[in-house]
Amino acid sequence: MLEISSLDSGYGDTQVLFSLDLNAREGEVTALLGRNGAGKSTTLKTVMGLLPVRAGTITFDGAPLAGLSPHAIAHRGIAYVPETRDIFKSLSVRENLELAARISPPERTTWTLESVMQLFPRLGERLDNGGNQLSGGEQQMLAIARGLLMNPRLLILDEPTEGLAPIIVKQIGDALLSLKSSGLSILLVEQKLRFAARLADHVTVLGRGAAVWNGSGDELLQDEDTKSRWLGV
Amino acid sequence: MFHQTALKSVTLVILLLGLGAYVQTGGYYGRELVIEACILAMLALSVDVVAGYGGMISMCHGALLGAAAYAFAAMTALLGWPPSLSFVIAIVASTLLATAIGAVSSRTQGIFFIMATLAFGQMVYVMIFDAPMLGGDDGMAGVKRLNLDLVGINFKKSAPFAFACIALLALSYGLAALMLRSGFGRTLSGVKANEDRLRALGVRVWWVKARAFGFSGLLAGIAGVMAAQHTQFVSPELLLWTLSGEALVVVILGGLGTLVGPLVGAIALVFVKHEISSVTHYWHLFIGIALILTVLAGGRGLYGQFEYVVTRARRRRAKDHA
Repeated sequence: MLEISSLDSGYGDTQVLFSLDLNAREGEVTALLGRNGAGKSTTLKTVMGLLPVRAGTITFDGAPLAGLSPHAIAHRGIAYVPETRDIFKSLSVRENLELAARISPPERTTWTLESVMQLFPRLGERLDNGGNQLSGGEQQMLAIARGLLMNPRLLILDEPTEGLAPIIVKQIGDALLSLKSSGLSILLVEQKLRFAARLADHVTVLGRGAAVWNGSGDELLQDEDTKSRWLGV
Repeated sequence: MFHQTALKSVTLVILLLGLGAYVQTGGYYGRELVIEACILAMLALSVDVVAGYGGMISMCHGALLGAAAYAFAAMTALLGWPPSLSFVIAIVASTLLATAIGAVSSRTQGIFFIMATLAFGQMVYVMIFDAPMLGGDDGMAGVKRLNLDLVGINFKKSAPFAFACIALLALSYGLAALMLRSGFGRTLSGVKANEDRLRALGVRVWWVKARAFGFSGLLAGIAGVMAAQHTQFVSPELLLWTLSGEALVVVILGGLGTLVGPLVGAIALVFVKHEISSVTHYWHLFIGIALILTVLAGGRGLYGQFEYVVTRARRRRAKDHA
């Protein structure tokens, strides 16, 4: 589905990714793990066209993404939920959701306001609240719901559990498991090893801007050398 | 995001009724002030739509007003076209011009956006200034007013013209409020909050900005055709970048991103200017001091500060009751 090959990318004079290879398969959850600064968020931003491709290729269903604008990439069916969540604070929860729903192509109708509220009932209770009145967990739910309302074929999540209380992390995890069982393809960037291993069909570990390990979540949990060397666990 | 609160509605009604009452009681001089205030308020409203709700600080809105005024003047005075048809065409022209300027300028941000709009404004100024048929520095006289004899209104008299300006100001406000409350308005406020996020959501940000700029040009165009009809004369002064600056000052003075604020700012500026200028030539000094005080007081502007105080008092009262 999403294939990244020999990708170089970075910010200004600083190169962050060095010949990165990554493959996210259709209907699977692919997790991207690594320490701070390994290049996880840089990878996602480059996929979304928010950072330029310096070398290498990114293809989605065989079509190249490099050089496309972020909005064109989103229209190909990729929804991106950033680490910062980026809720529009001047808009209510309903308005935030409606904004994303306006962009969804008419032929894709899997996700509606009603179905995202079934996934996150908390949002249904807070529909008329402003984006600035939400807790961190509610903001994350809204960010994911907003991504789903674009009816994507690939959902990209950047550290969806960062800074959240354990009970909210569990709720987000349950929602993602539900999405996985619905067959939605997900590319997940995470710091929490066990959270990612529970969800992922395939894990890629990033170190110094390149893929240093590939395998399943269970295999990673048992690989003490990789965990201590590349994840600091 | 724009919300037409009760406070905004009450303030708007009081302002419009106040202007109407002044038309009735203020004599010829009072009516001239009302017309001037309404035209400036429409221009400031158009600036607030893009600056207050889209984060686009424009320095070409004076040129948009002037372009519409010149288009209307050329069609009525040079070509002899009916004023009603010229009215519509001039506003369409300023809308299209603004959309084109917005489409190009939206590729830039911050100071570069301001400079791009300033450059476009100056280009419009130079093109019109250098066109011999448009009168150059001398301007162009003989601009006709709309003929409303069929509905029993003598538009050549100052009172009906002043009431028409108030009605068009109300219409402009209504159009702006409807636009800002629509899905497009929500997208525009998203552009102001985080352009990259909107791009990642699949929105063509430049096109949203261009359309918002075009809508703003429509409002500036209404102000322009009324300005041309008011004096029945147009001159390059209508296109100067200083008019764009004055509109921006009015928006900040009244309250950026409030929609009612520009009306408050325009009325305050016009009336204070005329009152103080009868006493001293240094009226700019007083406006400057008022602007500095407004910024130092939190940058909310006259209406914004009023709204802030009322909202805080309401919250305190609700807290005391709870």
